[in-house]
Amino acid sequence: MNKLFFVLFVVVLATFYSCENDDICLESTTPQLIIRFYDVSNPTVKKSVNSLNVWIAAKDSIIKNKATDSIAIPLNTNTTNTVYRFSSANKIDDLSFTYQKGEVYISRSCGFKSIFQNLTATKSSSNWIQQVIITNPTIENEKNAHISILH
Amino acid sequence: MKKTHIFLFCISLFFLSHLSGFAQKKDTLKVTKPYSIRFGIDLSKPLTSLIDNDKNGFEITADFRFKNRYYIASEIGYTNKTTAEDYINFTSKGSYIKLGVNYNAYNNWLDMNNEIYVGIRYGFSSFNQTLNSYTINQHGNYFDENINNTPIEYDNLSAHWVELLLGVKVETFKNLFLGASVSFNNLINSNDPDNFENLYIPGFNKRYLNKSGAGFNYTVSYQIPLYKKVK
Repeated sequence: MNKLFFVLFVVVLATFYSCENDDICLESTTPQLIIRFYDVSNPTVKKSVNSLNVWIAAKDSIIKNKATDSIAIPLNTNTTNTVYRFSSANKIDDLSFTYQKGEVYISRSCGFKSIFQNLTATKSSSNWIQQVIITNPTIENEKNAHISILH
Repeated sequence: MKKTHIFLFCISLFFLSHLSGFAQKKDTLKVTKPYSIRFGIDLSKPLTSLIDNDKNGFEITADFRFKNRYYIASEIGYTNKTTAEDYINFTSKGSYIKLGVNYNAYNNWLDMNNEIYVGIRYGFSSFNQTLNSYTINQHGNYFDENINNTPIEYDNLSAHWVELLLGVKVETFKNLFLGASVSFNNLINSNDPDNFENLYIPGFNKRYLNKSGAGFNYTVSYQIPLYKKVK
């Protein structure tokens, strides 16, 4: 009886303790805005920007002299509007992103993240950016692009 | 709490009525054992309160021997604990009750009354959680941190769980016992609030991802002998 009880106890205990570490945040947090650049003459073909700079007025560049066809930039979670300046070969266009934000609980170690809905983008000028197309107005993850820029 | 005591008392009476006709035949040396009800307090919780300002609570314990090696046992307590994580700060407060059975695996020598026991408990807690503040978890520091300092209250939360315990009790003076136990908890059910989680449950303690928890206590308890019986 004694031994049986102890064996049972240890077995049940073992099933209880398959510990996971939840002290490190491994889940994805606040998603960034993913932008892909396409050719304006052939909108299905990606076209790299040779020297892309992206920044917010009076702040450092978040993308600096990069040759790329896709970028991920954060949206300001303190407001519902973020205005980025995009430059290519010294030509500058401003893009104003407006959105609604929500807060979603992730886990103990990750806390809360922001998600964005009803994204709209307006451009101030067409110095090098010809067209901005919203492909996904809900920014919940970084799996797909949210915006296409034709240039 | 008062109701619980009455409940415990009723259970005690129930088991008392079943004790008659229980006798040991093999032994020639007749050793009498007290069948008693034992009340105690957990010393670790008030001590933790002294060291850690973010945690305070108390726990009272009771057990009753209903068969040679078996005890009905219960713990009732209250906890108020504030937890600070990287991105969140929250306070959990509420009371809990645990009810179950201990099995004494220790073979006492003659009239000694010590215990090395294993036990099982069903635990229930009713509590509130307050999310004191949180910081939105975002990439980098291009934008200022988004800190929310308006507390959010989550009331009427509850949880139940099962515990396995391992413990010792030693009779240091006549009828006065010192005890220690560790418990391993497994959550059965927890009604989590919308868009948050019960991360700390009074009685169950810190909740880990796989619904596990752990606890310990150091008790001092006093036994009130009800009657003596041969083993």
